Amino acid sequence: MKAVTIEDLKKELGDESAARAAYAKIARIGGFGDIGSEFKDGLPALDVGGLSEAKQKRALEVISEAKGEPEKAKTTDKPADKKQEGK
Amino acid sequence: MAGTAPNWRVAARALGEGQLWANLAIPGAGARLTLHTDGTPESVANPNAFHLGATKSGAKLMVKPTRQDFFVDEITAPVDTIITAMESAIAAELVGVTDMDLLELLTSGFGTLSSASGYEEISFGTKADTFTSIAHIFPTREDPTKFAVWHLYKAMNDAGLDFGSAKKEMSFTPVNFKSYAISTRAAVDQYGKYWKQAA
Repeated sequence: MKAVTIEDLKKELGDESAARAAYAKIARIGGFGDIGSEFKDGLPALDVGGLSEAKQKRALEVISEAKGEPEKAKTTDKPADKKQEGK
Repeated sequence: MAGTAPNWRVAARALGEGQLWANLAIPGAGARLTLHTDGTPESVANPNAFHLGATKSGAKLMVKPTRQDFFVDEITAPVDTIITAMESAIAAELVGVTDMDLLELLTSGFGTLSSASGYEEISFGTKADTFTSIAHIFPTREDPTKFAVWHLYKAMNDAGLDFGSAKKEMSFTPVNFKSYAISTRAAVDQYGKYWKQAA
Protein backbone atom coordinates (compact mmCIF):
# COMPACT_ATOMS: atom_id res chain seq x y z
CA MET A 1 0.00 0.00 0.00
CA LYS A 2 1.20 3.47 -0.85
CA ALA A 3 2.74 5.39 2.01
CA VAL A 4 0.72 8.20 3.53
CA THR A 5 2.43 11.52 2.91
CA ILE A 6 1.40 14.99 3.93
CA GLU A 7 1.83 16.11 0.31
CA ASP A 8 -0.66 13.52 -0.95
CA LEU A 9 -3.10 14.38 1.83
CA LYS A 10 -2.90 18.07 0.96
CA LYS A 11 -3.70 17.23 -2.66
CA GLU A 12 -6.56 14.93 -1.70
CA LEU A 13 -8.09 17.14 0.95
CA GLY A 14 -7.16 20.50 -0.53
CA ASP A 15 -6.39 22.01 2.84
CA GLU A 16 -3.26 21.86 4.96
CA SER A 17 -4.95 21.80 8.34
CA ALA A 18 -7.27 18.99 7.25
CA ALA A 19 -4.29 17.13 5.85
CA ARG A 20 -2.37 17.50 9.10
CA ALA A 21 -5.38 16.37 11.13
CA ALA A 22 -5.81 13.28 8.93
CA TYR A 23 -2.07 12.56 9.13
CA ALA A 24 -2.17 12.75 12.92
CA LYS A 25 -5.18 10.44 13.11
CA ILE A 26 -3.54 7.88 10.84
CA ALA A 27 -0.33 8.10 12.88
CA ARG A 28 -2.31 7.32 16.02
CA ILE A 29 -4.18 4.44 14.39
CA GLY A 30 -0.97 2.83 13.23
CA GLY A 31 1.02 3.38 16.39
CA PHE A 32 3.53 5.56 14.56
CA GLY A 33 3.65 7.96 17.48
CA ASP A 34 2.91 11.66 17.46
CA ILE A 35 5.34 12.65 14.76
CA GLY A 36 6.04 16.34 14.49
CA SER A 37 7.21 18.49 11.62
CA GLU A 38 10.78 18.41 12.83
CA PHE A 39 11.76 15.92 10.13
CA LYS A 40 13.61 16.97 7.01
CA ASP A 41 11.11 18.38 4.50
CA GLY A 42 8.39 18.32 7.15
CA LEU A 43 6.31 15.35 8.18
CA PRO A 44 7.81 12.03 7.09
CA ALA A 45 5.94 9.40 5.08
CA LEU A 46 4.01 6.82 7.09
CA ASP A 47 4.52 3.26 5.86
CA VAL A 48 0.95 2.07 6.36
CA GLY A 49 1.60 -1.02 4.22
CA GLY A 50 3.01 -2.83 7.22
CA LEU A 51 -0.13 -2.39 9.27
CA SER A 52 -2.84 -4.97 9.70
CA GLU A 53 -5.56 -4.96 7.07
CA ALA A 54 -8.03 -3.57 9.60
CA LYS A 55 -5.75 -0.64 10.41
CA GLN A 56 -5.09 0.04 6.74
CA LYS A 57 -8.82 0.12 6.16
CA ARG A 58 -9.28 2.49 9.09
CA ALA A 59 -6.57 4.75 7.65
CA LEU A 60 -8.41 4.91 4.34
CA GLU A 61 -11.62 5.67 6.21
CA VAL A 62 -9.93 8.61 7.92
CA ILE A 63 -9.10 10.07 4.51
CA SER A 64 -12.60 9.41 3.19
CA GLU A 65 -14.14 11.02 6.25
CA ALA A 66 -11.88 14.05 5.89
CA LYS A 67 -13.02 14.38 2.30
CA GLY A 68 -16.59 14.36 3.55
CA GLU A 69 -17.35 10.93 2.22
CA PRO A 70 -19.37 9.24 4.97
CA GLU A 71 -19.30 5.79 3.40
CA LYS A 72 -16.51 3.57 4.52
CA ALA A 73 -13.60 2.90 2.23
CA LYS A 74 -14.38 -0.28 0.42
CA THR A 75 -10.99 -1.49 -0.72
CA THR A 76 -7.45 -1.64 0.43
CA ASP A 77 -4.37 -2.62 -1.44
CA LYS A 78 -3.18 -5.79 0.12
CA PRO A 79 0.30 -5.14 1.49
CA ALA A 80 1.53 -8.52 0.32
CA ASP A 81 0.69 -7.55 -3.26
CA LYS A 82 2.74 -4.39 -3.17
CA LYS A 83 5.72 -5.41 -1.11
CA GLN A 84 8.60 -6.88 -3.04
CA GLU A 85 7.24 -5.60 -6.33
CA GLY A 86 9.41 -3.90 -8.91
CA LYS A 87 9.93 -0.19 -8.98
CA MET B 1 26.51 -38.30 29.83
CA ALA B 2 27.08 -36.48 26.53
CA GLY B 3 28.59 -33.08 25.88
CA THR B 4 26.68 -30.17 24.39
CA ALA B 5 27.02 -29.35 20.70
CA PRO B 6 28.67 -25.96 20.14
CA ASN B 7 27.07 -23.42 17.84
CA TRP B 8 29.75 -21.27 16.21
CA ARG B 9 27.16 -18.85 14.75
CA VAL B 10 29.24 -18.44 11.61
CA ALA B 11 26.14 -18.57 9.42
CA ALA B 12 24.96 -15.43 11.19
CA ARG B 13 28.05 -13.39 10.40
CA ALA B 14 27.89 -10.01 8.68
CA LEU B 15 30.37 -9.68 5.85
CA GLY B 16 29.77 -7.55 2.80
CA GLU B 17 28.77 -4.09 1.80
CA GLY B 18 25.48 -2.49 2.68
CA GLN B 19 23.63 0.66 1.75
CA LEU B 20 22.75 3.72 3.77
CA TRP B 21 19.35 5.28 3.15
CA ALA B 22 17.71 8.32 4.72
CA ASN B 23 14.33 10.07 4.52
CA LEU B 24 12.62 6.72 4.89
CA ALA B 25 9.01 6.25 5.86
CA ILE B 26 8.27 5.55 9.50
CA PRO B 27 6.93 2.04 10.09
CA GLY B 28 3.86 1.55 12.22
CA ALA B 29 3.71 -0.32 15.50
CA GLY B 30 4.89 -3.88 15.01
CA ALA B 31 5.91 -3.25 11.40
CA ARG B 32 9.23 -2.87 9.64
CA LEU B 33 10.73 -0.92 6.76
CA THR B 34 9.26 -2.17 3.50
CA LEU B 35 11.97 -3.53 1.22
CA HIS B 36 12.05 -4.32 -2.47
CA THR B 37 13.39 -7.77 -3.38
CA ASP B 38 16.80 -6.23 -4.16
CA GLY B 39 17.11 -4.95 -0.61
CA THR B 40 16.52 -1.29 -1.42
CA PRO B 41 13.63 0.58 0.24
CA GLU B 42 10.41 -0.16 -1.62
CA SER B 43 9.70 3.04 -3.49
CA VAL B 44 5.93 3.25 -3.06
CA ALA B 45 6.18 2.72 0.66
CA ASN B 46 9.23 5.02 0.90
CA PRO B 47 8.59 7.78 -1.64
CA ASN B 48 11.30 10.10 -0.30
CA ALA B 49 14.09 7.57 0.22
CA PHE B 50 17.53 9.09 -0.28
CA HIS B 51 20.69 7.04 -0.81
CA LEU B 52 23.68 8.39 1.08
CA GLY B 53 26.13 6.92 -1.41
CA ALA B 54 29.43 5.15 -1.00
CA THR B 55 31.39 4.94 2.23
CA LYS B 56 35.05 4.62 3.08
CA SER B 57 34.66 1.36 4.98
CA GLY B 58 31.01 0.55 5.47
CA ALA B 59 28.90 1.56 8.43
CA LYS B 60 29.09 1.06 12.16
CA LEU B 61 25.83 0.31 13.92
CA MET B 62 25.54 0.96 17.62
CA VAL B 63 23.02 0.82 20.42
CA LYS B 64 24.21 1.17 23.98
CA PRO B 65 22.59 1.63 27.36
CA THR B 66 24.06 3.65 30.18
CA ARG B 67 23.39 1.91 33.46
CA GLN B 68 23.46 3.05 37.03
CA ASP B 69 24.26 0.36 39.57
CA PHE B 70 23.06 0.45 43.15
CA PHE B 71 24.88 -0.85 46.18
CA VAL B 72 24.27 -1.65 49.79
CA ASP B 73 26.95 -1.04 52.33
CA GLU B 74 27.29 -4.67 53.31
CA ILE B 75 27.81 -6.15 49.84
CA THR B 76 30.56 -5.22 47.42
CA ALA B 77 28.78 -6.14 44.19
CA PRO B 78 25.85 -4.04 42.94
CA VAL B 79 22.50 -5.38 44.01
CA ASP B 80 20.44 -3.62 41.40
CA THR B 81 20.77 -1.65 38.17
CA ILE B 82 18.65 0.52 35.93
CA ILE B 83 19.14 1.97 32.48
CA THR B 84 19.45 5.74 32.78
CA ALA B 85 20.09 6.54 29.12
CA MET B 86 20.09 4.89 25.74
CA GLU B 87 22.19 5.81 22.75
CA SER B 88 21.92 4.38 19.26
CA ALA B 89 23.60 5.54 16.08
CA ILE B 90 24.78 4.77 12.58
CA ALA B 91 28.30 6.00 11.79
CA ALA B 92 30.19 5.98 8.51
CA GLU B 93 32.45 8.08 6.32
CA LEU B 94 30.77 9.29 3.15
CA VAL B 95 32.44 10.04 -0.15
CA GLY B 96 29.90 12.47 -1.61
CA VAL B 97 31.38 15.63 -0.19
CA THR B 98 30.32 17.84 -3.10
CA ASP B 99 26.75 16.56 -3.29
CA MET B 100 24.84 19.47 -1.84
CA ASP B 101 21.63 17.53 -1.28
CA LEU B 102 23.61 15.07 0.80
CA LEU B 103 25.40 17.84 2.67
CA GLU B 104 22.09 19.49 3.51
CA LEU B 105 21.02 16.24 5.17
CA LEU B 106 24.30 16.17 7.11
CA THR B 107 24.09 19.77 8.32
CA SER B 108 20.84 19.67 10.22
CA GLY B 109 20.46 22.74 12.36
CA PHE B 110 23.11 24.81 10.60
CA GLY B 111 23.16 24.19 6.83
CA THR B 112 20.85 25.80 4.29
CA LEU B 113 20.77 24.58 0.71
CA SER B 114 20.12 26.92 -2.16
CA SER B 115 20.78 26.78 -5.86
CA ALA B 116 20.21 28.72 -9.02
CA SER B 117 21.62 28.72 -12.50
CA GLY B 118 25.33 28.13 -12.20
CA TYR B 119 25.70 27.15 -8.57
CA GLU B 120 24.55 25.07 -5.61
CA GLU B 121 25.50 26.06 -2.08
CA ILE B 122 25.18 25.26 1.58
CA SER B 123 25.34 28.31 3.77
CA PHE B 124 26.26 27.86 7.42
CA GLY B 125 24.32 29.42 10.25
CA THR B 126 21.95 28.13 12.89
CA LYS B 127 18.38 27.19 12.07
CA ALA B 128 15.77 24.72 13.26
CA ASP B 129 16.93 21.13 13.70
CA THR B 130 15.53 18.48 11.43
CA PHE B 131 15.61 14.71 11.78
CA THR B 132 15.57 11.88 9.31
CA SER B 133 14.55 8.25 9.33
CA ILE B 134 17.70 6.36 8.38
CA ALA B 135 18.66 2.73 7.82
CA HIS B 136 21.67 0.64 6.90
CA ILE B 137 20.62 -2.36 4.83
CA PHE B 138 22.94 -5.26 4.03
CA PRO B 139 22.56 -8.77 2.64
CA THR B 140 22.92 -11.61 5.08
CA ARG B 141 25.87 -13.91 4.51
CA GLU B 142 23.78 -17.02 5.01
CA ASP B 143 21.38 -15.99 2.21
CA PRO B 144 22.31 -13.01 0.01
CA THR B 145 18.69 -12.74 -1.15
CA LYS B 146 17.70 -11.86 2.40
CA PHE B 147 18.60 -8.59 4.08
CA ALA B 148 19.30 -7.24 7.52
CA VAL B 149 18.20 -3.74 8.42
CA TRP B 150 19.42 -1.38 11.14
CA HIS B 151 16.74 1.33 11.18
CA LEU B 152 16.68 4.45 13.34
CA TYR B 153 13.30 6.17 13.12
CA LYS B 154 14.37 9.68 14.09
CA ALA B 155 18.03 10.57 13.76
CA MET B 156 20.35 13.44 13.11
CA ASN B 157 23.98 13.66 12.07
CA ASP B 158 25.91 15.14 14.98
CA ALA B 159 29.33 14.90 13.34
CA GLY B 160 28.97 17.96 11.14
CA LEU B 161 31.20 18.11 8.08
CA ASP B 162 34.90 17.38 8.28
CA PHE B 163 36.80 16.59 5.12
CA GLY B 164 39.87 17.56 3.23
CA SER B 165 40.92 18.07 -0.33
CA ALA B 166 44.17 16.50 -1.42
CA LYS B 167 45.84 14.96 -4.43
CA LYS B 168 46.83 11.69 -2.79
CA GLU B 169 43.92 11.08 -0.48
CA MET B 170 40.28 10.87 -1.42
CA SER B 171 37.94 12.93 0.71
CA PHE B 172 35.39 11.45 3.04
CA THR B 173 33.32 13.15 5.71
CA PRO B 174 32.48 11.29 8.90
CA VAL B 175 28.83 11.03 9.88
CA ASN B 176 27.22 9.90 13.09
CA PHE B 177 23.47 9.66 12.86
CA LYS B 178 22.37 9.68 16.46
CA SER B 179 18.91 8.42 17.28
CA TYR B 180 16.23 10.30 19.20
CA ALA B 181 13.07 8.82 20.65
CA ILE B 182 9.61 9.19 19.20
CA SER B 183 8.35 9.25 22.73
CA THR B 184 4.73 8.51 21.93
CA ARG B 185 5.49 5.17 20.28
CA ALA B 186 5.37 1.99 22.34
CA ALA B 187 8.14 2.08 24.93
CA VAL B 188 9.90 -0.95 23.46
CA ASP B 189 10.01 0.57 19.97
CA GLN B 190 10.80 4.28 20.27
CA TYR B 191 14.29 4.49 18.75
CA GLY B 192 14.53 1.98 15.97
CA LYS B 193 14.84 -1.65 15.09
CA TYR B 194 17.40 -4.20 13.93
CA TRP B 195 15.81 -6.98 12.00
CA LYS B 196 16.48 -9.43 9.21
CA GLN B 197 14.41 -11.21 6.65
CA ALA B 198 13.92 -14.90 7.28
CA ALA B 199 12.55 -17.73 5.21
